[in-house]
Amino acid sequence: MKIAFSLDTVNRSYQEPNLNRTALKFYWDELFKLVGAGGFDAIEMPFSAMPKVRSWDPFSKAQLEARYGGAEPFAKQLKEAGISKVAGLFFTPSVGGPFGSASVASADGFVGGMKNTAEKLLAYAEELGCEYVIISASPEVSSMGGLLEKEEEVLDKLAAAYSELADKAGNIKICIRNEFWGILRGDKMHDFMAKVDERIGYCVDLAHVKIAGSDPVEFIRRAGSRIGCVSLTDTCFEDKAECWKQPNPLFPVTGATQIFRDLGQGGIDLKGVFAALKEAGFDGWATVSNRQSKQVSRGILRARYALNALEEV
Amino acid sequence: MAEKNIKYSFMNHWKTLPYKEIPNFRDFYYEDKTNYAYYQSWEQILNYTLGCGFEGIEIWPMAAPYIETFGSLKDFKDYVNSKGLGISGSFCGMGPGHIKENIPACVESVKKTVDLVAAVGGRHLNICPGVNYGEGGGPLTEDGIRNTIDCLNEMGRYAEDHGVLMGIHNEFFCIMNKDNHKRIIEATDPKYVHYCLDTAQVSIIGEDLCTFYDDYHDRIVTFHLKDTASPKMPDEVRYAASNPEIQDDGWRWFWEPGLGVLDFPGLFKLMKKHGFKGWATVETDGSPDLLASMAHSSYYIHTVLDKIYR
Repeated sequence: MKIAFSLDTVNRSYQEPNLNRTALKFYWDELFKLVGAGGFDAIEMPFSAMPKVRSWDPFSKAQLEARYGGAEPFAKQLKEAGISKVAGLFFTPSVGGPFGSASVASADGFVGGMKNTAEKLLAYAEELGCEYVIISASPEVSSMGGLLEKEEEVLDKLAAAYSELADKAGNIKICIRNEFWGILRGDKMHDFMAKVDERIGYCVDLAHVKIAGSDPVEFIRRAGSRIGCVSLTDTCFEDKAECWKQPNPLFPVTGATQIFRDLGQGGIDLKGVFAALKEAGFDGWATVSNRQSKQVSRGILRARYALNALEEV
Repeated sequence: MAEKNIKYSFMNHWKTLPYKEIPNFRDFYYEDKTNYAYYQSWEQILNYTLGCGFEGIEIWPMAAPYIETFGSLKDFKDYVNSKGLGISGSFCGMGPGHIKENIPACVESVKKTVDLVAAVGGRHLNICPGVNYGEGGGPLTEDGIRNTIDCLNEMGRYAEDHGVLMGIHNEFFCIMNKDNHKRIIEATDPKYVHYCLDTAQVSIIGEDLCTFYDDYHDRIVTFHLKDTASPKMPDEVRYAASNPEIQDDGWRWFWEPGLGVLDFPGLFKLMKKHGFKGWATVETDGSPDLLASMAHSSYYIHTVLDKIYR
């Protein structure tokens, strides 16, 4: 198994660190060094089809070229920070925006939009030398409006689109993430994956699986050889009030909480998870994902501590 | 105590506040025992704003999606008002209105922000008069200047009709810059187009802050008060092709009032001379600690500036 660290730990939308800081070059220069110093020699990155203006984040091809001079100088900078690889990229499709509002969105529009962005994602992943990409099965169900009434049609079209994407993916593994707020939450994912092209893998996102009410260890056993990558996320959140149905489920209406904890700070049975992955013969990428981290550098070290405590790693 | 002439607001650079209130604050804090829990709700930020002695906030259009968590703009306004604060207005960009074909789209876009300001009971719309110089093909041509004037007049007329004062808010890296700044102010219709004096931006462009205010006080209806340690920057910096506002090494153009080199006491003497009445927004963009910036600014206002004019 190979371990990477996801730059989704940088919260670019919310307060800490503020947007001005994450726009700056020195912020990213230092972050790469901190990730390397934390013992992670590979990273995962979010993918932005629309680059953020005034930002040094490397999450789009346009930004990479404008700010870093392209993939080669970027790789050189990462190497100097102790990072030898961008292992993967991820993105979540949306409803609305170019595809119209949720109430009038069509299955073709939603899936077509996903595919269009996924093709750009694959092109960027190839340029960076990635081994996997993660595509979320859906955005929050609360944003899907009328599409939820056409769920079967949406899933059939998604499955077909994933096959077409796999034709173009070359050596890049396409993995599907099932967020706890999405249409394939929890164990629902297994039925869908049974119908999907064998080249498509699971992205086992531990916290999402657990919040949706499934046992991550059992989930891994069922996914078995279809696991394409793992997102090492942690959580203490129990969705007793079905916040997964609300808009912006990252911020539950039932009370403020940090849904995603830094790795090792939540209730995920990491020992059990690593044992199950070993049992499944998984030799792909398992990526630490400290989403919503309150202190990025502290989170890097917390994750390293948690991993060090696991003999299997 | 004599009535105050200046009402201070604080620019809401907190950007995204996911919660309206946090009833479970103590539990939330204990999750990780950091100060993060203190900066996640509108209630907290509004309380800090009032606690630091400000009378209002200025909002960004980008805050609108998060304001929607209140249900409506009116609900947001009512909530802010219930905290004892007002909303002075908002900031926005004009867009590429220096190109004639773009004017209708730019005007339509700004109308939406005018409507937002009116809906939250704001008085001011402070507008950056164009795109960046280096990225937008500066310098402005004669046609570009004419189009900018026409565009601003049309936007300002709509704003005036909706009870909002639209003020040019120039920026040191804007396509409207030192060579045509005053010309455009003078050529716009004073009935519709006012001016928001951003003390740092205008000084970085190369104007003397006090002279500029003295000369244009009759157009200046509000302020963005911020300091700078870098006045009168040369053309090659302001006109850089890459966005000069964001410097690679973290260099800050803007500082809290009193932490730079601008002559705020001199400015306030002139505000007294001209009898300024209205909102002045403290803006601390670039700060790594907005609460400290808010408290520091308040300290400077109350211990230095208030003694000159309040």
